[in-house]
Amino acid sequence: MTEQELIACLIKGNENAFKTVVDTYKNMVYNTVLGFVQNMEDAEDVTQDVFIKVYENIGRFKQQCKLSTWIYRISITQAADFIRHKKRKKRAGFLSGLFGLNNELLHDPPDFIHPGVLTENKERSAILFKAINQLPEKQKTAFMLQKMQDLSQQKIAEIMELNEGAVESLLMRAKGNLKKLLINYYSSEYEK
Amino acid sequence: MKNKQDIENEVQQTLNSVDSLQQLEANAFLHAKIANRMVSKQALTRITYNKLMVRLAAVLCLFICINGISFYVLKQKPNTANTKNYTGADAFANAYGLNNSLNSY
Repeated sequence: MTEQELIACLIKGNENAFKTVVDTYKNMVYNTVLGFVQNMEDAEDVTQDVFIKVYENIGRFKQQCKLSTWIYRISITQAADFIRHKKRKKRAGFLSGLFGLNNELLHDPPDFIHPGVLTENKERSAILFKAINQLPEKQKTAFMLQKMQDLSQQKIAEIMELNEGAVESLLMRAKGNLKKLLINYYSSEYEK
Repeated sequence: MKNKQDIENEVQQTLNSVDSLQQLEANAFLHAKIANRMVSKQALTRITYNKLMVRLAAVLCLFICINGISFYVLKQKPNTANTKNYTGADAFANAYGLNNSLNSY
């Protein structure tokens, strides 16, 4: 079945076509989302949301790009929305905690250790993920897609709807910022 | 205290720490979970829609009742437009019962 046929079946609401899409792209979506949300349970929830969005909005897909590119875009948007929602909830929780409205225990999540990282790199990757979270959103997206998904600059440009030059610049700035953050981190660590 | 070169090395190693990242497998039952979630989402949407319709119907009923009551109450009241043209002579006649058709011969 070609991609066009698959999309046509999906538009008609064909269950098998939807199952094919889920089975084909689930690992891609899950790994992309996991890099952003940095929690395995949350990543699975967001992955489900992504496929529900795909099912609901397939009629709006103009087929000007590949289906995988469109699904990547939805994954990034959903993950970013989830992070924003979580931050808002945390802020609201902090305020309500101040006024004693609830007794929910609020704490920062522990450092994220990606299960796919080699054992000897686990500690370093946790430090890197912490630094990545401090990057501006576009730099973070470009860096994540390159490092986690091993995508080319051309594909990243297609996903982010930018030109290749802009992506290259984003990646350069992301690496520069990460270097600065990591230098600060290790300098302070060594001073201790 | 370590020198600048050590820190540079650490930074480089940290940046390269996710280079050989192994891709994870998503849940094997993801499709079933999504299907389940979509069914419950549809049910929830239906319940929300029904609740909204019941509320709208209640508001509409209330609106009709208020209108009906207002109409009934206003119909019971004397017409204020007639009292507007009362003259001093009419008020005098009223006070002394001079405009009562039973008493006029």
